[in-house]
Amino acid sequence: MTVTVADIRKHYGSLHALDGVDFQLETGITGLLGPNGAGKTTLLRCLATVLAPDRGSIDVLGFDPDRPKDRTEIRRLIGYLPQEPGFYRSFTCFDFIDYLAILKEHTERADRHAEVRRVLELTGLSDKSTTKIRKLSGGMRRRLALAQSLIGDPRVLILDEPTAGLDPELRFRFRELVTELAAERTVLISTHQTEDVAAICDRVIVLDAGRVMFDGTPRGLIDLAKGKVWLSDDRPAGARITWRTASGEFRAVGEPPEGATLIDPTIEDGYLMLVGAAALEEDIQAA
Amino acid sequence: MTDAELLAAIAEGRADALRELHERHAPWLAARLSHRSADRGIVDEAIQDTFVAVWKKPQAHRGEGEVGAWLWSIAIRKLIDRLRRSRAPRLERAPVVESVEESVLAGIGYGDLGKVMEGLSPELMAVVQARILDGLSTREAARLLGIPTGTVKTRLMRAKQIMREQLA
Amino acid sequence: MSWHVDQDVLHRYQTGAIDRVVAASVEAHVTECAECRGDLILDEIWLNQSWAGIADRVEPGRPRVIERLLVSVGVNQHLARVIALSPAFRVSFVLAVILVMGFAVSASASDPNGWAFRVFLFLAPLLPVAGIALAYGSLVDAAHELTLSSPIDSFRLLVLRAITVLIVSVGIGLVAWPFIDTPSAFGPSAWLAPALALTLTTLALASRFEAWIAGAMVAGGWATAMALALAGDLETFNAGAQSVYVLAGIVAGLVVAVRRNSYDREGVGR
Repeated sequence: MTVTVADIRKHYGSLHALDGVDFQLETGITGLLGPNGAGKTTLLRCLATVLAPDRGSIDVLGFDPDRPKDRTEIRRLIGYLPQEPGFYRSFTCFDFIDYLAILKEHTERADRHAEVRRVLELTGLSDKSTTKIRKLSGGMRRRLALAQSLIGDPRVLILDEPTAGLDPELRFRFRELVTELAAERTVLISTHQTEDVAAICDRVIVLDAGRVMFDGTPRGLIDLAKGKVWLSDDRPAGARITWRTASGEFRAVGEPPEGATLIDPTIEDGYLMLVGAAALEEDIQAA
Repeated sequence: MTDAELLAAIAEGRADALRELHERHAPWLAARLSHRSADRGIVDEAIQDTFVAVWKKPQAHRGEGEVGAWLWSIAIRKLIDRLRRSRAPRLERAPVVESVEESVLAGIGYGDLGKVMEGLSPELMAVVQARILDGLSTREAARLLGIPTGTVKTRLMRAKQIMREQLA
Repeated sequence: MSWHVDQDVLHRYQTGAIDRVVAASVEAHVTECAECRGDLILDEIWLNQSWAGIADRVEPGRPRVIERLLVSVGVNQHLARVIALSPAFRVSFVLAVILVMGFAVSASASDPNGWAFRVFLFLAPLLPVAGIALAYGSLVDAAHELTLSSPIDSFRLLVLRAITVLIVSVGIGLVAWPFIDTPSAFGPSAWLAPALALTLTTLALASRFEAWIAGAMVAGGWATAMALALAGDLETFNAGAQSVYVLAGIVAGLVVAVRRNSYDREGVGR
């Protein structure tokens, strides 16, 4: 096990951001799904050693973030893409990655520059290396943030919404990149995009209101909705969640009425079964 | 993209455009420079100096004339700078005996002038190449060849005299 | 182009096995003919090496003045880079310090009785506090989250930036020193001990709160203390007061040292 999380709790006043979270990660890609406010970012920040939980224990590659020396070791071994990375807008891509490489203890200039070019190449930003960050689009900045998480070839990657703002083609390239990296690394991706999870994740954890609602394979999540997804010509009453598809019919998730046409569920259906209609509305607004 | 378009992109700070320009031109520039100095290290450094100079001031090529010729004028001068600073002895290339087809080719390239240049000794040819073909000043030619400026002047005069006699 | 150079001749041109005159002919042609240029035999390894040398001079931006200065006196380049990003070297901060010092100089010239001077004594120690509040923390340091999650010693970084802020504030103050006319018993250095005390207190509070909150608390506390002292007609800058500041500074310094490990994470010490 590369990462172990045991009974993590974190509250802000009366809000329980994390309310007893347990899981273990190993090599491969794990997707972290959950509605806004579920505690995904809080959890990732704890794993990235940026935030101290109130209770519980974390183990990353044998190190404990509560111990200062261990914390530094963990930081040497992980790559972290925060939800809000923060950029020095007058820096060029090259200089930004170069500076972060310095923060990651790459003190030898020639080697460091080679590493900068390597991660820019990996994320397809080589031709923007001398462009100032303030001139980059949101999607390119996201890629830049991803690039910095790859500095030093870390064994554990913690990525918070890595594909936010990326068009489908870039999302596809991202999936390819991460799948390749995950062969020998542990990757945890927090995302709203259920298709990303279905496409590349070996495991899925669903978080809601600070608790783990599901921890298993994508197939397992899909199966939660087995026999509960159907198509109808009119908007059905009493279904848990309904929406109109591109073909004009209504897709519904919930207990199917008599004679309903059952269809195969997708991972999104399974997720919705778990977290419900409120989550769907929030996610639609967030997307 | 054309060379001129690449230069415009370079002026916008696109390093990938500079890389493309480098890929197109560095090989022939390096080949041409190594016919002026056999010191491979200095040639490589001069090539890098050239493209760094292009990066800094791409607008110096004011849109007229071939980009190739402009790049060469930078490259040869960067080579001279490096030669000056290195204080290493000039490495001369050994002259090669030409064959019949080559003299025909020389004829096609430069016409009568080409035939006439054949008659020059290597030292005079070097000065003609530096002053006339490469477009260097007397002082630059002197630095490139490692000879005094006076010698450059006298050799050039002698070479022109020979060529005039041949053409007449 | 009506004619092109024969491949064989091109090859011999490249290897040098060619007559000077023919070479000149080849060169004149190749300078203008992209097609023949493309026919030259390409050494990929050489090309990549050549580009690597160029990229290294072209891609990294020009280092800032401060970085070059520090490197020239022997500081490691990577350390210099990090220090150069300290808010101490931002134009806005330097200007603020100069303004306050300039105010003191002009105030003491026109009003040696001391009101303007007392305003200066109130403001001057707050300058490094403002610098610290800007040195660290999400309000101004854009890449704060990334900095925290990297292995660099965040506490050391904070201290380094605090020191640069103090040096700039005190340095400019020392320049203004001879021009500040001071009333009666104390010199312009009256603000040094409070400056140090307030700075250390800000650092100490920053182990528990965000840096800008710590700075705001210290500024508020200082203002309150000055107002109360004024109302109660207490001396705030005499020798007695100075020793209070020094003591406060020592205590704050000890707190900082003890809580050294609380600076690189949020949510500690609740």
